[in-house]
Amino acid sequence: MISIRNLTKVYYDYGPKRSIRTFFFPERERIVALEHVSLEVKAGEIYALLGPNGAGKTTLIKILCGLLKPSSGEVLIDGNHVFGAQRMIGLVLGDSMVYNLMTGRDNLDYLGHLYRMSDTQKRIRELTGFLEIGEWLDRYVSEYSLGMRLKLCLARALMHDPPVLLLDEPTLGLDPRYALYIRDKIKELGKTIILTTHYMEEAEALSERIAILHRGRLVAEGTARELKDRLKSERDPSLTDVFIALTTGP
Amino acid sequence: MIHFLSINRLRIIWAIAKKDLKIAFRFPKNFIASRLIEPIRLFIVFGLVYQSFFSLTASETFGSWSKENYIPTLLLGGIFYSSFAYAYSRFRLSFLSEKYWQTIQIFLTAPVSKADFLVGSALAVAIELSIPTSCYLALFQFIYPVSPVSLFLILMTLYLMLLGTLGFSLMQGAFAISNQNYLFIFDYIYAGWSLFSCFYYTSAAIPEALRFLTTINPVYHAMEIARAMVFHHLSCVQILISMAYVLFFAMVVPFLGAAFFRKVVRELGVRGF
Repeated sequence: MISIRNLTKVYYDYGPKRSIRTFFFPERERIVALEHVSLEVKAGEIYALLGPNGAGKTTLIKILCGLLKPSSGEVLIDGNHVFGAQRMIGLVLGDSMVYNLMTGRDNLDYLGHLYRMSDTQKRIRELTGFLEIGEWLDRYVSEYSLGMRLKLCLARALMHDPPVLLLDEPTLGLDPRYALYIRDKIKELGKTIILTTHYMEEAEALSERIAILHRGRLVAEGTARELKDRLKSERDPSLTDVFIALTTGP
Repeated sequence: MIHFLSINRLRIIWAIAKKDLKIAFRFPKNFIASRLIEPIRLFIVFGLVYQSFFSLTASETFGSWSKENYIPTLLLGGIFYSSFAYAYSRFRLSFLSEKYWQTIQIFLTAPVSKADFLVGSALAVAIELSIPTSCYLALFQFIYPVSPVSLFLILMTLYLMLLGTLGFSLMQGAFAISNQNYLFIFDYIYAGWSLFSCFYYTSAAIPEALRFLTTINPVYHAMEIARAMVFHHLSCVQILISMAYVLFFAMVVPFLGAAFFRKVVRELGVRGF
């Protein structure tokens, strides 16, 4: 369903250093965000991406949804290049991508129209039932709690019923009850999902396979059990132990 | 043509316009009050200058402007200038806000043509500006009545100017998304463009060596058409030539803006969010 082949992303940035010399002669810094990443995600699979901050998880998600162009390599979604497959993708980037100055309903209605849906109100009713946000739907998003915002973000991503979901830290900052609720809903969807998270228990509970990114490189991939088996030095290691062992050092 | 006017496409354009309007009118008192004051800010300043000029000197005229017509002329200039200024910075401000709100990704990932976004935004701008425009045109009618046909042509010229300016604004929007470091270029262009548009003075005030810059400026032609509807100082042929030029500006620049936007965003990528 999702095929990522030899993906590399290099940024050139001017960096934070400011001086009279850099004003006239800016020094460009080369940052390798992703380096030769290849992976395959099957239809209906939930695939978790783990990695320390700055490992390249969000960059990978942004390339997958067409927000960033890779420096080399390619991404195919159901055989199509990303730019031709935007309709197939639903995107959650934390609690962003919703207008605070509009109501939840207006946000969903706007998205429905952008994706050329014929009956947006019917779909909004389905989603509000599924995610239990009906009570808040006609209030301004600026009045929402973080949990409500994330539910709305998920509803927004599901609005056009895409077969693929890209979820970048969908439970970040949520209390355990809300996080469990969102995880249950994600599991119920039955879609092809790539999710990034910092919560090991989330990756273990939700996904069939897990990949660990470190400094832009894919350092491990497999089921939670397979990853744990890599750490032979410890008896009954946790996913956190594996994560720390694989992401420590250069 | 059929594709352009397809119901689906019109629904998308209206959805984009509706979204912009909902955001603009989230705090309606603030929005309406700030739009209403714009056209009269410089009107007052220039009004004082012209009043002093005509009362302190023996002169009865200044170019084609006179003691009798300078107030309605300035009012017309105020309407055009505030609309031009609003449209010029429209995409720059909205894209910078959307980057700050982290909603720009919706615009960038939606399977919608950038030209549709431009038309939707133009529609929203037209509706937003219709409040101050109708208020000040009503005042204008009260001070210096003109025929309904002239009023219609003034409005049409104003909206054609807006469409072209919005197209140029999309080029700024590309830099707002890709590289904010170069936005200053558009501030310099704005200073020159508004100077040579002669909103509040006649082209006689521009040094002769630089006057060709007003002649090639479509916004100046739009302004002149509007004035000609009131003061009849241009011939029909001159009005038709100016109208053709403004029409060309309104039709071509939006496409250039959309193409430039695509090119810049594709080449430089998205930065700063």
